[in-house]
Amino acid sequence: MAAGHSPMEQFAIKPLIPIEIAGYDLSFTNASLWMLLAVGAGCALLTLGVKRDGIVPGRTQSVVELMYDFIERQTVGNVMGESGKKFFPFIFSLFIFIFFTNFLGLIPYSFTVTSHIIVTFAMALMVFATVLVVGFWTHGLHFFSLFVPSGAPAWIMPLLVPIEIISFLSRPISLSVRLAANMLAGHTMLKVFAGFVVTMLGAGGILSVLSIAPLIAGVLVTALEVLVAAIQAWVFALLTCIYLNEAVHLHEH
Amino acid sequence: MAGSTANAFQVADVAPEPEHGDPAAEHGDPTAEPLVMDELHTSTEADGHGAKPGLPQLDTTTFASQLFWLVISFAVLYFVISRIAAPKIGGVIADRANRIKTDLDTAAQAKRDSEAAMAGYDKALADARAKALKSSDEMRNAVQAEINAKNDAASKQLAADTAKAEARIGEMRKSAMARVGDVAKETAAEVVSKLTGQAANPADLEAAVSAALKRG
Repeated sequence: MAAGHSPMEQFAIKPLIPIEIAGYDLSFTNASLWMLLAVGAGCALLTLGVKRDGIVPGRTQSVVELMYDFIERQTVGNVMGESGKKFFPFIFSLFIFIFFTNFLGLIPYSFTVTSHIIVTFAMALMVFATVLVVGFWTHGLHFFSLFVPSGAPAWIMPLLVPIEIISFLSRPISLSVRLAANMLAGHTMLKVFAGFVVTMLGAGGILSVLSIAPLIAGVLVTALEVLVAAIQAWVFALLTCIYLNEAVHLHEH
Repeated sequence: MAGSTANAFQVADVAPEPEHGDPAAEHGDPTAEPLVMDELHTSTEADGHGAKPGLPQLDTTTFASQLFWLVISFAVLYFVISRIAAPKIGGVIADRANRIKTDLDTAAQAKRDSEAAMAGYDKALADARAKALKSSDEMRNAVQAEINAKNDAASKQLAADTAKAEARIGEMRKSAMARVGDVAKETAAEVVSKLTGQAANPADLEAAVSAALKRG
């Protein structure tokens, strides 16, 4: 297989406008472009899609309200109750950003921002930092009791507390790797199947006929990726809710 | 490996485009792409990393740019959502919920009103019926009483008239009976004088008539 058809090529970062500030390469790249496109699409849908006097919602407004209700009531409200109100804009922003970058990434020849671990890790760190700030702001040093499971006998604490701390510290890693790996694997799989189709068609004979198989697989994987794109955005938002809820309420759920 | 990959990238990127027939579709300038690619490869090679054959995700030289643009775009998104979109959407949903609640309340109030009106109508109907029944009863009773009073008065009058008439009849009979003796005496005296040719003794007559009257 030619290197040009490498399934990893789609993840390459290409500078469009080279920018360098204070020795850092801050070039406007294809990644930057698709971030801005995702944000633009999200903002356009959420603001232009809603009419102030839209008592009877149209199609676009129904979609917006569905998303809003899904995160506001069914996710944030469900997990955090009243205390989630002030975190809703943050969680909704995370959801919309991931949702739109995931979906725009499904367009052929586009770029999937969330397939890069540095982006998802940065978002996970934002969540982690928010959890720490909220936790210490609300509970002070008592926030450390998060690492002491209630109800466990004292002699097992030397074992449990380190486990809890490790589990807490690994959250940003699991949160970011889950999203990036899903996007990376899905898009690689799509590209591999698509590459099979082209290669087999080019090979001629019986292989050309058989190329329908990877084509069907590609279509099915595309459908799966549509599902994954939405689910991963929601999973990220949901886990953020759960972590923030723990920071606000500690153990007393 | 690195050099061949870079070459292959360039060949793959430049060559297929004219074949696909959309050389100007991307950025309007078909020659811009290979130039950018050249810059990228020369710059990465100059940085000492070389063209990485591995995952682009692990190329740390791109991290600063990605983080920079992530912060900018996410900040914009957060600002728009927290200041404009979320209040607007939440407001619309709340407005609708209020509107529905108000409408439902109004409907419930109207239902209560109509039920009250219905009850009032039923009551008025029952009252009117009772009143009509009462007044017809009263009327009937009054008429009945009047009839009874008139009947009583008429029968009293009748009884009085009857008694008066009977009294008069009794008187007349008494006076008639009183005169019967005289008539009988005269008749008897007449009969005796005709038969005997002489006047009868009044005392005998008297005795005979009263005896006959007593026999009846």
